[in-house]
Amino acid sequence: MGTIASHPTLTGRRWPARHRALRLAVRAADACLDAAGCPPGDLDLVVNAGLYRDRNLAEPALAALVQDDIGAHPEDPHPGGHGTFSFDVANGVCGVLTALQVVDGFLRSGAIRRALVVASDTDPGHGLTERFPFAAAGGALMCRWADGDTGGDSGLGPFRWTNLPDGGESFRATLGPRNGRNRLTISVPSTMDTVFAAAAGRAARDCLTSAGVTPAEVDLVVAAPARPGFTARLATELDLPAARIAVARDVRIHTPALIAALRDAGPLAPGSTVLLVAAGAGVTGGATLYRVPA
Amino acid sequence: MPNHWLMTEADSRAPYRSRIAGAGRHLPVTHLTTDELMASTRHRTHIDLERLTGIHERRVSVGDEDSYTLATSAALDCLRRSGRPADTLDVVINCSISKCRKGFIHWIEPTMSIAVAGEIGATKAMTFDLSNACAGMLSGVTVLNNMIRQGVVERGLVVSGEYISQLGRNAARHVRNILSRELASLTLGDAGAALLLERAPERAGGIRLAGFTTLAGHSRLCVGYTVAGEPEARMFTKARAIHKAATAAIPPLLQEVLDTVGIGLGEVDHVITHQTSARAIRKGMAHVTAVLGDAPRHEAVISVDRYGNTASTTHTVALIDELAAGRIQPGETIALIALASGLEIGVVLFTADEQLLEQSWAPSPRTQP
Repeated sequence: MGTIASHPTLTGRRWPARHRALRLAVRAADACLDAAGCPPGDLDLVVNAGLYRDRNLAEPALAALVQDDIGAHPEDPHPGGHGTFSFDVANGVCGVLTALQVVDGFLRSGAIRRALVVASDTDPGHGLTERFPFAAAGGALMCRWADGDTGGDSGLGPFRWTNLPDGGESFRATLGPRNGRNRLTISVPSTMDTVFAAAAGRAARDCLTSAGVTPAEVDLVVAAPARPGFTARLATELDLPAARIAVARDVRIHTPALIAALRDAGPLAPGSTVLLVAAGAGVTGGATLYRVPA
Repeated sequence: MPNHWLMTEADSRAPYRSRIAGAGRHLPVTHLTTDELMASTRHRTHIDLERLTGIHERRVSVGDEDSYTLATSAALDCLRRSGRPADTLDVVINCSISKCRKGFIHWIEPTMSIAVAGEIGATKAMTFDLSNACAGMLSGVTVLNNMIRQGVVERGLVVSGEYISQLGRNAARHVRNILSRELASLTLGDAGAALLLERAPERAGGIRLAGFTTLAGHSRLCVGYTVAGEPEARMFTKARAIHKAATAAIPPLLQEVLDTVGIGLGEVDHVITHQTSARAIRKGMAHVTAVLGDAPRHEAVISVDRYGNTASTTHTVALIDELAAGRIQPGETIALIALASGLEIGVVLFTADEQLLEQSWAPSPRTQP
């Protein structure tokens, strides 16, 4: 029994004028649902983990707009039906992992049967930015519960987290007044990869220890962010060859990076043990084991 | 397929149950009356906002507080009242819409939750932020309730700090008449709030149900975003359309909640709705009562007259007033009803236990992080 995460889908910018975060998330969600053969009305929950959107939209949750645009029960309640719930989480590049933990909890309790995790980032535009460092990209991941008959001991979990608080020294993104105008400021010091890898490594080791699995027994590590410096240091932290760590091909992808890494890794081998690991601003590291259904 | 419209966590299959073990809040010291705010509008609006909304005043930061200090002070207040050490928290979830630190600097990364956890000494807590407009804290309670019920964590804090009065000051420059889509921004006030949830002992009071849904067809009725040339943000609301949609949807959803736990509305002792306007709350509850043919034991709580709409913190701010006034008795059932941009509708139904009520609910000495 466990949560099955499948059909990682990624959309990038095709038309410069249309790279809205909402549109990217919706395109990824539509493609993911299509690939999974899941009608939008079957979704019980939509969780968005993206951070950078047009005008830095503060409300509603972007997930609600995604829910509306993909047509997952946007209508008012009516007898004999079930609705869809949507909200956003924020945890930097770890956001997708946080969303997976939240979704896993509700699948485990039986509150939901199917959920969609989405994440997208775009330049907030409208005069708020000078140079946006991340790729305009949207990702979506389908999550469903597999019971004992079909799932065995497959699925996600447990999740382990590590915080190495640094007050945003190793990565910070703020929006605030500068020269009389609101501006997005993103600082990426050179120490970022080292600190991120330390947090991710600690969370990953904790996750493996709690599951009684050694790094050598892990078939594949899927990691975010995709920065080469981070990946190399993470390999050292886990005492694994860097070739065993799969990351997104586009290193500029930010919050959808874990979904992109899963997509770029290709089909996961049935029955294999995959370590999902991420690090983000904070510094926060998170990890979970994913046992791919046989 | 679940047979609820709401995503509901209620049945007894979970290994554990959770209880609300503490609540805390922090309000800025400065009072801003509606008369004072409306006297500051750029245009002659001819709007009697106090008569329209029942809001007499709200608390506002005058630069002495921001989202971070409000959230942190509320978290410390919650821990002090409940007597729970910060280092026993397994998770801290910040649920504010505004994330201002050091004035108007909005922090996108790192999360507000890791900053709050660090400041209060929650050294072993995992942290993340959750954003769901004014339903943020109750959405956070719904997530944390699930985590506790599944045994993922034993104790956690849902926290929020809303520094949003600046939207009102922005709106005062733009509102021309009663039809303005920025009228709702004039109802906002600042506040910090925290709720502590923990694993409940056998047969203790606790959270009986947490259920949420998003009526996303109405998701564009209230939007808030940053404008490059102005401080903080602006919010545009079609208030009448939201009220109409919510009024139609709440009775069947509330009936679903009551059916799920097997009680009638008359067995709910206290109802605390999201606080937008006293008139809207009274009209909405009258409609619920008419449709369901039953009423809660006490009139719906109104605190918006004193604090305005403090976004995701309103339920906790109001709950603490009720606790301080001794209006809640052990074993009584309280329904917290979320209504927020999205359109998010949610209900957290819980039983107040003696351990919660015996805490000192006297006004807290001023706590600063």
